[in-house]
Amino acid sequence: MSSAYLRLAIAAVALGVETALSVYPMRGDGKIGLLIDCLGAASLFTLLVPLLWRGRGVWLPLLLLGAEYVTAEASGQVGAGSVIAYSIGLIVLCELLFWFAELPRAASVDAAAIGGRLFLLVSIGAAAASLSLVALFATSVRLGSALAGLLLGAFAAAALLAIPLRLIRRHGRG
Amino acid sequence: MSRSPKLALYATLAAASFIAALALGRPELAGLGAPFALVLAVGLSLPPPPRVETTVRLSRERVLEGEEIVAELSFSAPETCELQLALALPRGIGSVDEPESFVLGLRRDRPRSIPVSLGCERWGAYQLGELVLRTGDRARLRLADRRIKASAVLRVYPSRERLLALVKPLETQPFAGNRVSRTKAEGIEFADIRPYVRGDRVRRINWRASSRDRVLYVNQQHPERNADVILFLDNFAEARQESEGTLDQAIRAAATLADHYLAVQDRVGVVGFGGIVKWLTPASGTLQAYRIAEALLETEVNFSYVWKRIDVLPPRSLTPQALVIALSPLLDERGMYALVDLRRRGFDLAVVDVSPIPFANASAGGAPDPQALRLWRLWRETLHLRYRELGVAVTEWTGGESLAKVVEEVGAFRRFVH
Repeated sequence: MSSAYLRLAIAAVALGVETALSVYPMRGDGKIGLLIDCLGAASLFTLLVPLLWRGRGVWLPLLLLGAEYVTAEASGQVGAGSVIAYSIGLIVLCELLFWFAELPRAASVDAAAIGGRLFLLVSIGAAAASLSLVALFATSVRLGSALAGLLLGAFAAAALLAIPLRLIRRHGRG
Repeated sequence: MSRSPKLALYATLAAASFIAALALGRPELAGLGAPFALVLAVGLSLPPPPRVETTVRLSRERVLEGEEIVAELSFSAPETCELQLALALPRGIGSVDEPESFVLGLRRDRPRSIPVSLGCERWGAYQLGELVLRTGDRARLRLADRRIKASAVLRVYPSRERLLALVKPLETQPFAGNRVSRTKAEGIEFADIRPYVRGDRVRRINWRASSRDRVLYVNQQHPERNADVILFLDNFAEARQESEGTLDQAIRAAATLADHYLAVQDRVGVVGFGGIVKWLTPASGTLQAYRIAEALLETEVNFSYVWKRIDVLPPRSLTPQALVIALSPLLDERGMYALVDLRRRGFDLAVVDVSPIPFANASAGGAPDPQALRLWRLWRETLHLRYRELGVAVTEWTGGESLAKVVEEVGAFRRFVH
């Protein structure tokens, strides 16, 4: 398959996901509603940057999308349950944009390569759904003592620190 | 190995969502960044980008200009991965109907090969198989770029034209060949009769002439000899437009002439007279055909300010009584004077002027000034006249014309002069 057609298809899907993600929180009235609308419109508009500029500036629409969702969520415009769908959409959009950026303009793309990418997308989407669900469930957990909270917090911090640590160790070996 | 921009972005998004969850006191926001953190954690635990082994095999290693070959690129990887590859093709070799980049899905220990059709657009010796590879880990967080050097050698020989006639050398050499010599000796072609002298063979007596004059006469014949032909390539300068130039045309003409002269048992030599002087002493046979083909592949324009004369050539490269066919764009004074020098030294010279004018007309900077072009044409015509005054056959050849026509023109001039 020609990479030109594949890039077009990826761009179309990314645009669809981005539209859904930016339009979903646009429900409110008043100043906050206006801010959310502006952020959503800006994120939709800035999606053109990575699509037209070889994948550069992927962070821009994602940052605006995140800001839009956080504003909507913090102001109570959207329910807490929407975080599951939103996290799936956000990571799938990221993967699509990076796939788009990596694909050469004129290349022959193997079906196995497309299959591998789609499998990766589905796996990440499924993992995102389950992890968001777990995170959402964890918010309802009420810890009995401060010690348990401390232990859980320390564990979470250690898990988070493990990522850059692992990265540094890998680079040290390489 | 390099980090993908994805890695930094995912880490930033995950951190931002966790900070937002803490700052706003809304833990569900952590769920937004958790998948990004998970991809990072899992992706970095997976094996690094695998090292892909590649081989390049060509269907043929020797081809003629304009022909196509198939290059088979084979890949194998110790881990399942996505491979992006770009085939870096040298100028003169092009991909036929296919892009030069591929994205392949490789599976662990399952070699894959892809055939790529390549068109050989220009003569030359090429090193093929230079590849730029990019692999990544399964999550595409770490990328590894590699450049693989060319390993296969492809020789593209200049295309040949069919000639019906050749420029006949004025003198022949003492070796047996297919040309009727102007001298009289043992041979097949009848030349003349002369009075019988003691020692002449009886079978050579011309009985009809002898009976008429009542004196014995014997027949004389022209012997069959070969000739030496030197192809003199003036490569001091060339006129070029993208993939085509006067040197390309001269090389094709030289290859055609060499093949045809060798086919009639003549000895053919090549002299490349330019920034670097190269020569191939005259010889005949199939081996010489291969030597000439190889020598022509190495011909190129080497820029130089050094004034060179014919003296720099060894005497063996310009054998006495050889026919010298010069293929020159007549752009550099050193080449022009070398031709005059050759003629003054008594060489039988014919000049094929590989015209640079079509390349000036098609110049990228727009059409040339008509006055300047006219003056240039006049100057070149004057130059042709001066060569003709020296008894040198000169014919202008534009690449679009048939070489056979040019050879015929040179032959006609030589028949008129000699």
